Amino acid sequence: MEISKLSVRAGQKTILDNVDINIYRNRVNTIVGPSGGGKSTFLKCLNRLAELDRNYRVTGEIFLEGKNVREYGEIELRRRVGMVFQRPNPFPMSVYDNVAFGLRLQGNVKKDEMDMMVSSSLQEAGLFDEVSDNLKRPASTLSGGQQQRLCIARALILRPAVLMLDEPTSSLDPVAKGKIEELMLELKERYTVVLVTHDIGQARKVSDYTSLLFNGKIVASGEGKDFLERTSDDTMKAFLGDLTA
Amino acid sequence: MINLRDHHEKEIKWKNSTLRNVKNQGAKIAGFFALLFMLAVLVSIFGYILHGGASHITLRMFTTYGNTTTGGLLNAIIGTWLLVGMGLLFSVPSGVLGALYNVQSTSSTRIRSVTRLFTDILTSVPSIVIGLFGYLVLVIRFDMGFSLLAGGIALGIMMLPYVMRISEISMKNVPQEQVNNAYALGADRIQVASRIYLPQARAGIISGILLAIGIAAGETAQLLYTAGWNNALPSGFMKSQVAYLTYVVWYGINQPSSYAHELAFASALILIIMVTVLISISKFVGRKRV
Repeated sequence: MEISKLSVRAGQKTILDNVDINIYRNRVNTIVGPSGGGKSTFLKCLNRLAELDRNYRVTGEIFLEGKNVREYGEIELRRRVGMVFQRPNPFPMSVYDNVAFGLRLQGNVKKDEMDMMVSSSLQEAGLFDEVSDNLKRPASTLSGGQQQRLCIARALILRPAVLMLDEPTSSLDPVAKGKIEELMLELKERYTVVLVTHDIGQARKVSDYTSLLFNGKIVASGEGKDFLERTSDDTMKAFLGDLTA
Repeated sequence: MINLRDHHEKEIKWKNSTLRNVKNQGAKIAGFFALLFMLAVLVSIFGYILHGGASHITLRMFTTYGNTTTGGLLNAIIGTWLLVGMGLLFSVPSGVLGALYNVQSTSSTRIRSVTRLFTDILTSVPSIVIGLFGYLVLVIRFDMGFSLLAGGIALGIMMLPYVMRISEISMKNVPQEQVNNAYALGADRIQVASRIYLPQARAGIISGILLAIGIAAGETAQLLYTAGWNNALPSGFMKSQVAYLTYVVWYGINQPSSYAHELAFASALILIIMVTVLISISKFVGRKRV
């Protein structure tokens, strides 16, 4: 994906200011930055979820596989660009129905085909072995980490080109967090991952390309896990300093 | 030596706390008596109706038609439910869809606050005014006559704000994250309504409907002008009058016949039981989290 001159305004406030950034295929593309810096809004622009809020004025161009996202229908785009939210929020249904949700929206899918898609999505999300004994159990009985992986499976069943993760581990314990970080490294084999986080440690572990979003602006970006260390950018250093202090 | 300032402060504190204690106790006692008074009123109404109704109620009243001074109440009982059912037909679709529109619309909050004001006003319009409207517009202008349709619509107008507001409140309780998530999975507006809002707000919507039924079943004024009275069941939706329980109470109590009084008491008792049951169910359903 290429994003150029993306700006978002809400009333007088500028949330994103001329953001230019490339999202690389089959990589973990990470946006780091302090809370309130516009990271979540950035993700919501990529699947045009930001347009649900009439207060937002979105300008600029976003291209997915060479085609402007405005040329995709909103629904088609959201199937191509999956999203997992900050807090695990399974629907109040069974594990199976949660994963099947997105596919069912598209109309009738044969039962055996649906079964297959549900289990393969759960496998990709690394949850299958933990829930396969009973897929009919309510999703709310799963642990927080399992619920978040369920949300990942729910997004994956649509076979998106891009998977966006909005601070996916911020409400999880360290073990659950570690599992999701490992998962991201597996997922990038098949999907393009966009990760938003304020956790520098996580960026160090999983990121291939990292950008720092600060007050709505991309102030630094670069390749590699050690980009964060070798940056000479003052804002970046200040941010890292803030977090390590 | 006594530290005077300390002493003084202690005294003020003591005075404040005694005053507060007296006030607290006073409020408690006043509250207790208010509660007692309210309970006494409630118990005396229930007791009076129960005493007057239960001793006169007979099985025959449930099995035969009547004309408010002789016969039974079957036509009035069925008529009440027919009218309420007709009211539901008008109020539930529009109330639930209106609530959905209000929670889903991304448009200006002005439309929402105007509809809210409108529903609030509608709840407090006296039922006799709705009856007058029903008579002038439905019965006469639209030529429905005193009928099931006219009475049902008049009840529906009254039920609408209850259905709509309670549905809206329970839809607002659906976490916004789940709504966004459904959109992010490629749901359109109708799918978000049918797969997220309606199932999750179901308990609230049902309790709103039950409350509206309970209130509508006990209404009289707007039906006097729109439903009329029928010694049997209505023969159609229009131009055929309908019997209902509150009419028996309103009319029977003025008749110089002791059987008419008995019918009135029995109707009142049936109404009170119906309303109590419905409102209790609505509370129970509303509390249950799915």
